Amino acid sequence: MNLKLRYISILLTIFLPLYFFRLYQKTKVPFKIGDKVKITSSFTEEPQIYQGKQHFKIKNIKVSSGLEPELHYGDEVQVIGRVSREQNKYYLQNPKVTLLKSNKNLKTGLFKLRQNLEQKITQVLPEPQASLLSGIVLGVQKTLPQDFYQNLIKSGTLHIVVASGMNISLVAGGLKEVLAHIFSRKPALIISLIIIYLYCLLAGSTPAIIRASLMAGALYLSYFFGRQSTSWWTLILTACLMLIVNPLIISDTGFQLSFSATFGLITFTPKIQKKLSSRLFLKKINQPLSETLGALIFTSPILIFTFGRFNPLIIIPNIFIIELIEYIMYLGLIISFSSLIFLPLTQLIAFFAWLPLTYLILVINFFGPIL
Amino acid sequence: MNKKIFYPFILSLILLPFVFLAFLPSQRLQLIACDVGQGDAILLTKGFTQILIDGGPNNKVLDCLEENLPFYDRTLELIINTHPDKDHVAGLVEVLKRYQVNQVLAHEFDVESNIAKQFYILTQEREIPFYSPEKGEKIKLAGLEFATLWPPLDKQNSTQVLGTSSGKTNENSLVFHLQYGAFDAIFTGDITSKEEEQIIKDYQFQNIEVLKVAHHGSKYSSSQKFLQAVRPQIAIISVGKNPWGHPTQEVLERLSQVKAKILRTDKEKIKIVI
Repeated sequence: MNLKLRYISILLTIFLPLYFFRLYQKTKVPFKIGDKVKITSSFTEEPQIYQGKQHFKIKNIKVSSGLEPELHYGDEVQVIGRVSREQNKYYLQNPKVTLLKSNKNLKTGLFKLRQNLEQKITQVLPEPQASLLSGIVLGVQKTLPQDFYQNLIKSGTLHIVVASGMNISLVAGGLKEVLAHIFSRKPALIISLIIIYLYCLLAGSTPAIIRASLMAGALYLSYFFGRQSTSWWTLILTACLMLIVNPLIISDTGFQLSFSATFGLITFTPKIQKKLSSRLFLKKINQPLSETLGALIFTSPILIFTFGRFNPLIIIPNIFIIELIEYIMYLGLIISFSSLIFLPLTQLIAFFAWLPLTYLILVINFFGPIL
Repeated sequence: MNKKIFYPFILSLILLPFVFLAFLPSQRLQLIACDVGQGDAILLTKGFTQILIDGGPNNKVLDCLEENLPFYDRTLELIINTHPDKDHVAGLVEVLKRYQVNQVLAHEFDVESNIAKQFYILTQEREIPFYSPEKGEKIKLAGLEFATLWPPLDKQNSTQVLGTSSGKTNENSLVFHLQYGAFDAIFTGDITSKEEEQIIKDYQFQNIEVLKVAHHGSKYSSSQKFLQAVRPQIAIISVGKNPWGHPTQEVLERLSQVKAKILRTDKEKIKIVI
């Protein structure tokens, strides 16, 4: 215990100054309020689209522009506008956005691929099954029918359509099994790392995905060097690393939920599992129950704080569906990539996905309105 | 093998045949007027054959297709677009993206509208056979016969001439007479009384069961003369909230004068099983 404490204090003395230095860098705006500015820059992240506008940050200033021209990661743009501030946040008044150069790179290529895969899924499955599968595999939420989306929220199952750590750990876990049969250890690890990196980009590199990818990467590397890795330690280091790269994600709900859920899964789930295994009645649902409980222990305060409510009964729909996600996820991956090669075969595989997806929809639509 | 994958897979394998049977489509012809708001989208299904006439102004037509097609049938045998106004063509774009479409019947208009252009471009990209039937031509599919009543071959009036204004799309709507055994239905797109007059001059109507009322019940269509010539038993009005007062009182009265039973998509679910 003493050693643990010492490590943590060493970590904090290194981390905290770095964090505040980066926070200063990330929030510094090199202009005064009221300045009319012309900024040329290229995007380091994909603009977010909501409320009929594209939102992005340029030199730490928030810009909201119309849907034309369509902007993407890597694009070089020129923005003209007046710097203003509201609620301590800088934004650009009446921004005029001109697209200077559209850069093609790995990330834009994967973005195209992602759209293509979404499209293919809608060709082999009806709605809302298609959107649900896109959500589970790629974390796409915008195509979900509105009432179904509401039911996902109310039944506490929205996490299945969020590109989250579960996706990465399933991809990583599956890869390990498959690749271990084909290659020797070294190339298998390198290929796994590359695929995890690509999948991370494909799934939209949200904080949750990045967290899981980094942790999976760390786990692979520890295999590689034959070292032991402690999960909670990896988790804390990952959090520190991500916060130093982008200090602002500390206020991102996805980031908070991802870390608190994982922390619960690592620290509490094994304990709950041990407790439950001696009770005959609960044996059958031991795993889904302990996983759901573990994930909820630290996320529930965040849920209450962010959304103003938390219903402990959401454990029930989660127990009904959680065990199926792995199966659907793998089917979804097979469907996505086989659709690029041969659609009729994909259609056949899609029937196998239709059944569990429909079951999920029935459960979610049953519990959504009553919870 | 992983238990979490093995069990669901085996269970699916056992259940799927039953699910397929449970969703087996009816072999009888069904005529469904989809509720797509202010616009037209009419679906004909018979077994695994589906024909969609227009797609409505939005993507609501997708719900209608999902409701009426078994989940494992992702193919539409035929799409007919009567004319490229938004309230008839818009939904078809998403349909083309999601479904395999074997054939499209439509006339290509030179229009400004982006959504209509998208429809034409997508048909080309997907290499879907595109045919523009003219008056007098008959098309047969799965025991259904479509006789084309409009537009005429007259090149003066032809829609393929460049620069045809978008105002003329209604007047050049495709008009069909569907025959299936003793069942007869007329689909009129958005034609006006002028075209109706021309049609009844050249064509004899007998025992018409269903008339898709032209232009959502606009008073400039469905003239007394035309309705008396067609004498439909059932008149379907595909209509939603709109600023033009569709369906107009005039048309509703004319329809009741010929004793047609009026069915409106904004009032009820319309599914006619033959």
